[in-house]
Amino acid sequence: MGHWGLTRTLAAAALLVAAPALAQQGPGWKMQGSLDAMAGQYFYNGGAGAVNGYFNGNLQLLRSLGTDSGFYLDATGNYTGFKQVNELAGGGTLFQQSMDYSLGAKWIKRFEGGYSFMPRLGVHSQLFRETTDETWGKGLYDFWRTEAGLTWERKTRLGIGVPWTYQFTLDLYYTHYPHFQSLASQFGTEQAAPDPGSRILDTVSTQLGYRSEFELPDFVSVYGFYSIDFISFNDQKVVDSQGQYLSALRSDSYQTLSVGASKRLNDLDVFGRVRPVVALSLIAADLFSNQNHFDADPSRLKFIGAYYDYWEARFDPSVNLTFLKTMTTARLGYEAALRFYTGRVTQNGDGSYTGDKLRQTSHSVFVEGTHPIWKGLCVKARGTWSAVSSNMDYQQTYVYNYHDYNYYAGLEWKF
Amino acid sequence: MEILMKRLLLAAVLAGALVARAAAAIMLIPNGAVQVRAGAGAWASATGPMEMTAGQEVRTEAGAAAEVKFPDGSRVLLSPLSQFKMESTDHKETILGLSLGKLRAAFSGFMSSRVSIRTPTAVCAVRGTVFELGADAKSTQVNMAEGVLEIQDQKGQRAVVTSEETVTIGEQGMETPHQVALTDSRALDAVRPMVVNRESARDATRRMLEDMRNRELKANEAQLGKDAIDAFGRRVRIEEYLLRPDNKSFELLFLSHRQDRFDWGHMVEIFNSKIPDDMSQVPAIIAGTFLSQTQPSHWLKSMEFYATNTVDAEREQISLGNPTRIDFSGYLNHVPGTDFRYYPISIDDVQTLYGPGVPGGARVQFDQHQDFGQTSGGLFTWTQSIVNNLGTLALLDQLQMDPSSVVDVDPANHGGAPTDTAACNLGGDNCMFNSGNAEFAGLATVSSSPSGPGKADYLVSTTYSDGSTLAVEKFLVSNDGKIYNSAATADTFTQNGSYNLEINIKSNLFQGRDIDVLIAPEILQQKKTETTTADSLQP
Repeated sequence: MGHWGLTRTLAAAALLVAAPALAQQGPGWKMQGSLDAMAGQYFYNGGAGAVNGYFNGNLQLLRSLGTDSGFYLDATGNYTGFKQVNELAGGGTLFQQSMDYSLGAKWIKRFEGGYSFMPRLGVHSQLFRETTDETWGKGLYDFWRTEAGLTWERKTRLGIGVPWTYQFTLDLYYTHYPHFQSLASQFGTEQAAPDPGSRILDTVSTQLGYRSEFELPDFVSVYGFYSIDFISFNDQKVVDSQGQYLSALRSDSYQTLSVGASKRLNDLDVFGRVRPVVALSLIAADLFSNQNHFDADPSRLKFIGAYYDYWEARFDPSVNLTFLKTMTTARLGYEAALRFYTGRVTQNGDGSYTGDKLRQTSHSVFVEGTHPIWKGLCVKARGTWSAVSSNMDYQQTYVYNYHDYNYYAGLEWKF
Repeated sequence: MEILMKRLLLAAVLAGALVARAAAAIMLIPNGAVQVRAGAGAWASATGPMEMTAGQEVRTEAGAAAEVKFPDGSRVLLSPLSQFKMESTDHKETILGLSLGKLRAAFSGFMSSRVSIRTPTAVCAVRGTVFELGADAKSTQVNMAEGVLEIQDQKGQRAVVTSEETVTIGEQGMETPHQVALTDSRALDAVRPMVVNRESARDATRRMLEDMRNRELKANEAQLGKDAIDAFGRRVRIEEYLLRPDNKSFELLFLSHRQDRFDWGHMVEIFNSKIPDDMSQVPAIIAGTFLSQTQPSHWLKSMEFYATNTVDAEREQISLGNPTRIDFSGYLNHVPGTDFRYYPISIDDVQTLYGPGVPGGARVQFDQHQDFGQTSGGLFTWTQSIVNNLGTLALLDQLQMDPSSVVDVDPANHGGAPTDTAACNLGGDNCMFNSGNAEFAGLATVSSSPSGPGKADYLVSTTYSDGSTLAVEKFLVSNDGKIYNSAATADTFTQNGSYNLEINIKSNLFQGRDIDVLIAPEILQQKKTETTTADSLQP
């Protein structure tokens, strides 16, 4: 990460501090955002991580130049001292601290007839400390990302009754891992190692998206979203069935389709009146890659084509409850996910391969509550439990069957 | 600008309503000539703030206005010449009425489960909204500012109206809602909190896909065994490559990198002839080198295991002679002359240390030779040589035995008592045990479990007679750096399991450095297979 990462980190912090003053001095500026200060802990297969902090700040500066144009700036900073349940639980590091910073700007230009054109630019960096010998800014998986996007929006109607907003989006992401190079490229010369490429995680992604949103009567909102990503790996070479590296570079495509709906139900006559909002989303996704895998373990020496290809489905119901007497909110959600790898085969406990394709299943439940205590200040708590299982019995290098949970609690201030 | 400011105020009211905890009463605040009545009663002037109850009606004269404040912070501003009714209100439903005139409303949507405003031609259900509503006996005009409103006309036609839309509902029903022009005074700022919140959420959804993809790249590195934590809490990156120096051999290269050091090693296997392109057949070829009932067409000629910290190194070279037909009935079916197998005619196993601190830069510490029929006809012969008190290789012991003899292969006779020459010498055997000689004084090997009982941390330390030492510590360590906790035996480390094998090699010849590689246990398992000698077979 080096100087670039630290520079961006400092820039994000400076913006968070300086923005309120800027907003006060500049006519026409508006400011909104939130600050979270919490503590939490992570549990994985019976083991517990230490209690640590969670801090998140988000600030947006809005500048409207009239009814047809304007822009806003967005800055986010985050420190997480404990792992989230969706972060590589099976991958080997119980200990993890991360910092996340992003800066972005978006221009909004509106045209008559409900059309809008919205270009954006942004930078994003993530820093990790995952082992005792990693220091901030030196994490193996630190990355920074430069991103740019274009959104073309139309707000119209579906018949008389239903407002319909749709968007076509184009987003470009360039992601660079400054500390991650293949070992062969760093140390391979003296051992006459093959050349798998050097910056094997660096990518350029081109994401095309389409989104539609509908407001239906009876407090129902519906959306649909489709995107396809074309991911070019700048320097990751394709491995063949002999374990040799070709000159061709890896390229993936990832597409996702999600549909969802939410509905506000009638208030419940309990606890001084409770307002429920139920929601459901369904997501289908697949990934295709030209990259394969050659297992160089001498007892196996197995070539697996289409190693990364998979498709998956997710099912996410949730309910949001607002206790109107106290304005306390509670949110309960569940997610079930299935992933089927089309090329990757499973292994027995001793590492030998079977003819079955890898399947992964996960279930997670989260509960979150907030309670206002003064103006925009509220106490907040969240807990998540997750269980992951698979038909993979070989878990020497990655744990495919595990359960974990975490919690955090603290204060949230919205302004 | 005035209109704009008023809308901003309304928006602020809407936001503030979320936390407002005003008194439970609904308050009417008149401004000018305002009258109030209950039911069909007579109109009475409202001269100051007063509480409103269900069934009451308010009207404003020309030039007058009024404000109705609700307990949840919602507000209704009545324009001049308007008539407004509080038809009913409770926690389930609040029904308001505008029979004439115009109002501007900011509703938080929390006062009842359902909030609606009725006009002579429409019913407007509020979701949480800032809007203007104008009505007379024949039509209703809705101008949405921010939010969502549901409208139903007299024919039952329903429509949802969102920000900056306007719609007229007449006696014949409603027209299609349409957006106000950007030049219209009712148009809002292009960039305002609700727009930014919505757009930020959409962008975040798309960016999340990219975040998830990067998280998955990281997970794949772990799934491929490229990323692990060692027994000392350090991140180790591992890469393994298969190289093909020629069509008779392959080399497995394994690289271990920590933040401040690099260790690597290789295992090279050379065969007698071209091995198939399908490398998955190689393990079967190796297995066929030993004890095959038919003469193998392919067999292993040599294997080399090498580990280094780039300065010091340890190498183990194993050379195998051609397969030859040997009567193994003493080991296998115990009926002499009936169970012939193909087995390498010789196996040489040489261990060498390298480094600037090693005398001469390189020294053989250990050499084991095994042959069948070469030293003595019809017998297996093992000779082990080891560094002596002068730092040179010297014969430590020699064993011989007949693999077709059930009595001769009995461990009690050749392995159970390594110094019992008489017991070893059966038939034509010629056994020698020199470990008691002065040149091997001080030679000692100690085994221990430094991390305590039950932990898979197994240390074997050898002190040679010349004072040199070699300590090999093996850990079974999980991907997150935890040492396997069970009854650890030496053999545990060559078994497959859900742990990585970390081998730490120390020697006082390495000048304080060590070699520390993290490898898949299968590598060691294969090395063990290839160093298997007939004496490790059990009758």
